[in-house]
Amino acid sequence: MFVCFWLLIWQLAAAWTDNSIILTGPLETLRSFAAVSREPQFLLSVLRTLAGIAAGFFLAVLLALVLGLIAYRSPFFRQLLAPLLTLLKAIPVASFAILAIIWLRGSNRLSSFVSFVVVFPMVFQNTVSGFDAADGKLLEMASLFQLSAFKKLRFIYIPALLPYLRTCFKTALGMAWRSGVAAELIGQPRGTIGSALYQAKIFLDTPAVFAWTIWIILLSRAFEALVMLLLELLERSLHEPGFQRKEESDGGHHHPGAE
Amino acid sequence: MADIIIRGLSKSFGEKHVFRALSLDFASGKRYLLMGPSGSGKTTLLRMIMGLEKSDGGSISFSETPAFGVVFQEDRLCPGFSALENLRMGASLGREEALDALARLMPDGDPHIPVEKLSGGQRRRVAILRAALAPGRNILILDEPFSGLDDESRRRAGAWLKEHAAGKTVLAVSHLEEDAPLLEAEPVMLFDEKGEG
Repeated sequence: MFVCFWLLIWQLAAAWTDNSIILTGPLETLRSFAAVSREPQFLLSVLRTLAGIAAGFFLAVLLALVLGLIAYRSPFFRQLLAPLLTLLKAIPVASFAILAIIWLRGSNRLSSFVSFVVVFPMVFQNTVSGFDAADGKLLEMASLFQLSAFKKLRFIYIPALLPYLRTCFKTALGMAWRSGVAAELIGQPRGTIGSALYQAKIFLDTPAVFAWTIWIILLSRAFEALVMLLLELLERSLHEPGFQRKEESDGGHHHPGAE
Repeated sequence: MADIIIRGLSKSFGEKHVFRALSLDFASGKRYLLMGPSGSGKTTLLRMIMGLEKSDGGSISFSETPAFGVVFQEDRLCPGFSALENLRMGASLGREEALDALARLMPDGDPHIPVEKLSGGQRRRVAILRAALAPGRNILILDEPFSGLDDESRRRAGAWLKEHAAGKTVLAVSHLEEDAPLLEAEPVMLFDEKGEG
């Protein structure tokens, strides 16, 4: 309903400007969306950008989890990394992109590098916060019961970490896509979404810019759904067969009473 | 089994002295019920025995390396996990064995739902099972183990504990005298600073 309202506003604004270079309407965008999707290089461009951003994201997550665990255990290491993280967060994406062009000599790893440096500080800080949020009383219990490191992870640390990762991944994924494509736009590695956007800009092909933008949003959302699914699977893997989650057990027969 | 020997133990929190030169012996394989008014240091003594609290003076020694099974004042069950999972986490039991134990002590509760959906009494019984069935424990520490349980559940939990604590040194804390016969435990009175007990 609300989407229809905004589509109507968009169409009216496009009709009012009556210039598809300044503002392309929804119908023309849809036509361009279909045309862009049929281009011979389309699939390869999508796959290259997707692979680049995904590689940067997953590498950043992996390293941030490992280093976050070390920083949780070692205040010295945490302090050692603090200036580097402040620096990483302060540097603009454009600077990273230009540095990556110089260092990586125009390779296709540009979006991987940029999404890595954008995602790493966010996931690292949330990993440390998640570990810090682990319940001290449960950790005391675990130490008295001499639980293995695996059991501590499964029952205490991962459940404490998951809410932090869930929130942070949503922001980090959006950032990874925005900065990854921006880096491609600056560096123009061949056969990527960023370079396709650049070509559209050169030829003042605004409908193509709109079409590629829609593709970026769709890909970003699909990737986010995949990552959230992976987190969901991780959470499910913590439990034994037969476990009934809160929402499932709410509809069940059991109602705890006071004793 | 382990003897616990306490000599000249003192502890204070700021201006408040909890113990001054407290000496006690707990023989291995026996059951004791620490009683006393609130503020007499029952829980503090248990925490010091477990090494969770430092003393200001004196010593606590053991005849052999202690391994504790513990029911804390709060249940300290892992939220988001079921009674079955919490029990198997601490007790390292097979699935069927754990389900049998839960069916005996918590027949009214669903072992597959998150523990926060169980009643307080049901959670207490899961905590009791986890402590008593933890492998290789020679000392059981039970801080108000029957709190939140109705009379029938108290009797059942007491009988079950006696059966499964056989051979272990048991230190329980309660403010109810009737808990001593439930556990067949020797009462030990702790007094507060003014000597009230």
